Amino acid sequence: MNFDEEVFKRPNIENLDEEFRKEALPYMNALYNFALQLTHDSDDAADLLQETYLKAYRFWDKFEKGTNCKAWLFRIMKNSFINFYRKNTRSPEKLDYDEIEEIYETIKSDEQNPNNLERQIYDNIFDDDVMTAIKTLPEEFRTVLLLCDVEGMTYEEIADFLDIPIGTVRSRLHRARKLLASKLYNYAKSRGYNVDEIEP
Amino acid sequence: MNCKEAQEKITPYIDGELSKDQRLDLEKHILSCNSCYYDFRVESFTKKLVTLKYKRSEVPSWLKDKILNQISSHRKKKFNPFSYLIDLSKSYRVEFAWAVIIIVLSLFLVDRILMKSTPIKEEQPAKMMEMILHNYQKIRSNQFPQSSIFTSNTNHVKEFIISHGFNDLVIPETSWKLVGAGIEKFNDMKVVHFLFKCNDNDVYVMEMDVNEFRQKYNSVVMNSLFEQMKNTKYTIIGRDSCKVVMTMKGSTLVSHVIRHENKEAFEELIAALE
Repeated sequence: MNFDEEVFKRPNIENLDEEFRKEALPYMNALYNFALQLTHDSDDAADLLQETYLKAYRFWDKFEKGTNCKAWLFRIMKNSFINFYRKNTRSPEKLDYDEIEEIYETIKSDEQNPNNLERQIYDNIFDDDVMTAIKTLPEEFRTVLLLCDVEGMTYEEIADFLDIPIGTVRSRLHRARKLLASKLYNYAKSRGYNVDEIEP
Repeated sequence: MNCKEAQEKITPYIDGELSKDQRLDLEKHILSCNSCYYDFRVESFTKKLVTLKYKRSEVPSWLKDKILNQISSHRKKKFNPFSYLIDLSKSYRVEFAWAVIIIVLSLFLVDRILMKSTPIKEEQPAKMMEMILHNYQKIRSNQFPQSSIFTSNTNHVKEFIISHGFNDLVIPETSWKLVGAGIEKFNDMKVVHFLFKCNDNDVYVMEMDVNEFRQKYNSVVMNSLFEQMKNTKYTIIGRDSCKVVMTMKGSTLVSHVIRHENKEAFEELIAALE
């Protein structure tokens, strides 16, 4: 006879809390940034972040251990956003894809050597320029770009999260980067220490 | 591969979304096509810039503190349901004291009246349940003396399920209730068993190899299993004031029904065992 109820007391409330702290809290920064993305307003982002964490804490027992906690938290945030802030969201700007291609093709003919292009951008822009360029991307591009390059999500995760086909994720990323490269090249050119001097 | 196909592959290549064959195909094309090579370089470079230079905004410290406070106060609320009453008692001391006195007195009176008017009651369902569980536990540890752990505390059952990775064990919303769970070592096998209650008298047990259980059982299977368990014929074993009925299904699932009923059946079953 070996009946030992103590064994079952191990994952108790204190430990659940610790687990929540360990698993969910590290993503606060990532979530905050996404909240800023969604709301465009630091007060709304703060509210949304608080709501997300409270909900996550309340439903912590619904989280399947071992699965992607970050994706779970992002989903909670997105749903909260949809439920409470939908009124304020604007419909996405209409994008002229041909225009993006055109801008890109211009830099492509402007600077045909990729090594030079990279060097010019790298030598002439500041970190802030990258931030500005990203911030001025159309929203639907920016979201996909940040989820992929900053949050490290896979195409499948992004598609699932944004309810768009995987093909759309790919094409948005492709265009977002083309547009971003064009913007950065133009920044570099306007700073222009050596851009114009290269070809006299 | 032509340029049009290559253009569609460049982005997923950079993001590590292509299979090995697809990667090799694209590499072959890129090395022979300047235009696509250019696009590939620019896009890779852009991705690198974003990854390196994008700075996330930091969560303001006031917000961080606020969230942590909210969580911990939420926890207090969850586990201190009387805090509201305590607050109330502080602001209305006299009224509260009277209310408590009246409640206690009336409870006392009601209790006295009931004691007089009702003869000794039949065993309460809850008590009976307790006995069933107690007996069950005894039987189990006799059957599996190697190592046996069992709990019937509702909270512990939940924790047990989570800590053993049975996340999918969704009890359908019927009269079924999970009332106990345990795990045993039986020779080299680990056996997990769950007790389900359907009404006050019947307790169903399912037991399985732990790994098999983890792999196979989800809410759909559980549903059909409950149906099966209701209609099975069984063999009986038992001890003390409780009888246990076992059902073998194939070689994996064994279900028991324990009924706390009469001695006759119990004696019968001891005889059957001997």
